[in-house]
Amino acid sequence: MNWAAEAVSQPRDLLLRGLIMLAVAGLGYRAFYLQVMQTPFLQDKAANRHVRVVDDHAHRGMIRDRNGEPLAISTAVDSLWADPTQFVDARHRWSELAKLLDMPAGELEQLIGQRLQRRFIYIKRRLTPVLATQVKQLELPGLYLQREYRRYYPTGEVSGHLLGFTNIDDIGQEGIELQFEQSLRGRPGRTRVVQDLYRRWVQPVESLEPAIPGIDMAVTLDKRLQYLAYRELKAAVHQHRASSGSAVMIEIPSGDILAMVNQPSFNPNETASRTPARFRNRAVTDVFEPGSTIKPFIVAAALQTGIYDSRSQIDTSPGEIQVGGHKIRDHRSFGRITLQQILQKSSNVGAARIALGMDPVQIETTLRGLGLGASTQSQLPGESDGILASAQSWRKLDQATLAFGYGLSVTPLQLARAYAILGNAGRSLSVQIIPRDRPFPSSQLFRPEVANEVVAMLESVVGPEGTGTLAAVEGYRIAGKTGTAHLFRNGSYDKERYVSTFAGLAPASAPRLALVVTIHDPKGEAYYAGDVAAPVFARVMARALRLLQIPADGVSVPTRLVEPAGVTT
Amino acid sequence: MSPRIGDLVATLLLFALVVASALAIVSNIDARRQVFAAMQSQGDSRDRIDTHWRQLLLEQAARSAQVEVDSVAHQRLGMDRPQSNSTVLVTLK
Repeated sequence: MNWAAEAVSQPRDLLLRGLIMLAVAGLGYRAFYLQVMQTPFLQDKAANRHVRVVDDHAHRGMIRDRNGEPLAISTAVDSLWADPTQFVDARHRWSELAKLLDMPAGELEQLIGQRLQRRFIYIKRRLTPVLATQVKQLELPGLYLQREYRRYYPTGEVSGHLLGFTNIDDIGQEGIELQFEQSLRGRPGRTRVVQDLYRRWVQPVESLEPAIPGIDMAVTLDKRLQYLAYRELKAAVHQHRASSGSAVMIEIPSGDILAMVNQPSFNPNETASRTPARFRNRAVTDVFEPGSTIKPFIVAAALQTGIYDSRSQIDTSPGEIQVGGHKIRDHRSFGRITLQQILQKSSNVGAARIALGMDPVQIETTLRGLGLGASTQSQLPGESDGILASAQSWRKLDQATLAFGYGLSVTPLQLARAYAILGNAGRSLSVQIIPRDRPFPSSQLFRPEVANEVVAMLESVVGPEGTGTLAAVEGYRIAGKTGTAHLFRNGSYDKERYVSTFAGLAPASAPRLALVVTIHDPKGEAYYAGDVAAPVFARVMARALRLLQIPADGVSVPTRLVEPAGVTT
Repeated sequence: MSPRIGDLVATLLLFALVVASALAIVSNIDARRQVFAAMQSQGDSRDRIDTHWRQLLLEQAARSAQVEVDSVAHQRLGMDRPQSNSTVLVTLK
């Protein structure tokens, strides 16, 4: 009031007031700018020093067998690392650690002692849980455990090919791990945490994204059968100094793959034994000429068309036949023999005669219907189609040699499926490693009587006069066929090298299992399938039938039959 | 007169509400933190138990491996596969 009265000083007064107000406004603006406009930026700056977003590990899905036994498990392990600047204080106790880790004391001295200025050195990665606890109890300064995750395969080399393995980032590289990567993979979550100066967690703040673990999968394998098939195959490959081998067992009628093993193999738990040539799941990736194991299908096709019946006789004398300028031979002349004897003796001449008497398209349709020369859609990576030329391109010779398994290439899995179809009363089935929601529609390839007839004929192969006597299993009726084919190498057949195969069904009265054993290039004295592959078949089948509690159907077995006393059903 | 008192009352009331809601927010955030921390520690113990379980599964798988079972049955327990002459096939009628 007073000031206003002094009109004289009014201009100067106004100027002063104006300046003060400007200054206040300036300060106010600065405060506003920092407090409001720049808040996010400054808070960020502060947060950067102690708030971090960390990944939450999500476990990769487990793989289990048909009985729930784990085949692949991801689990946390600890890796041991040291900060030498702190760890040096405990130098007098280094020997304790070295002893615990089973490491020469000098080695630890060398590892750490020469890098004292460093802040981080791995001492040992992926300790066993027990060892990790013991190390922790030493309470040495500067020694830390870092959590890592790794995948374990309890069955090791037995299922290496089928399961495959994951790389260091836990991504599937081969086998089922690769094929079902999308389901198995876990999606890591993210959590915001507060951490201290040493980047150790102090407190989680908020969860940004929850971790989603991978989905557990059940495969159709039976761990026990897988193991025993592997053991027998490995022993045989070793014994006969063979280059490789495979065995596949399929359940009838589900088409479940119960066992699939190969030699050579690798241990998926050890990176060291992972050499690419050993990764191949030969049972699905490698094709071979099935040799005489194809004959039952030619016989079945002939029975199906009605050209022959079980009493028909075929003249195979003089033990050889001239087709298109080539001679097809038997070991000796069998004379006039029945279809059953053609299979039992494995007569090439007989099989060729049957095939030459048939319409080539009929043969092709049959073989294609059985899935030979076509992928089984088993969902295993790298599956080969095999080779089966179309009937129009066959010469007479091709048609004749096809009857004993030359000129077409199949995988062991395809052959196992074809036998399973025969054992399934001629009805097709979908082969699977992961149970399918909707199996492929099945169709009747052979009349049930025809299929059963051929299975019955195949029992004689394992009988005393047959080529596969070593495939016999005590107490059970076995139907099967041997196949010894020359290896096709560099454009011609190698006279000295063979692929020995035994394919069969059990129990023959009502087949439940189809098993194919194939052994490549046995270098020992024995190379006939009956000597090389058949014994493997018998050993695996005998134990499989017992393990799966399939009742014995053998009639002429040397078991004591007793009449049940007072047992009623 | 009365409108001015009415305004004052309304203002005070709103002020009180603002303060109350601010306090509610603070206490809510605190409660959330505590619940989150509790959840996290539950999650941690779940992870610990899960890890232990996985290790036990592995151990079980190792101990129940066919080789292991075979050798224990054979060597330690003296068990053998029954031969055919000691097998009796019972037919149910």
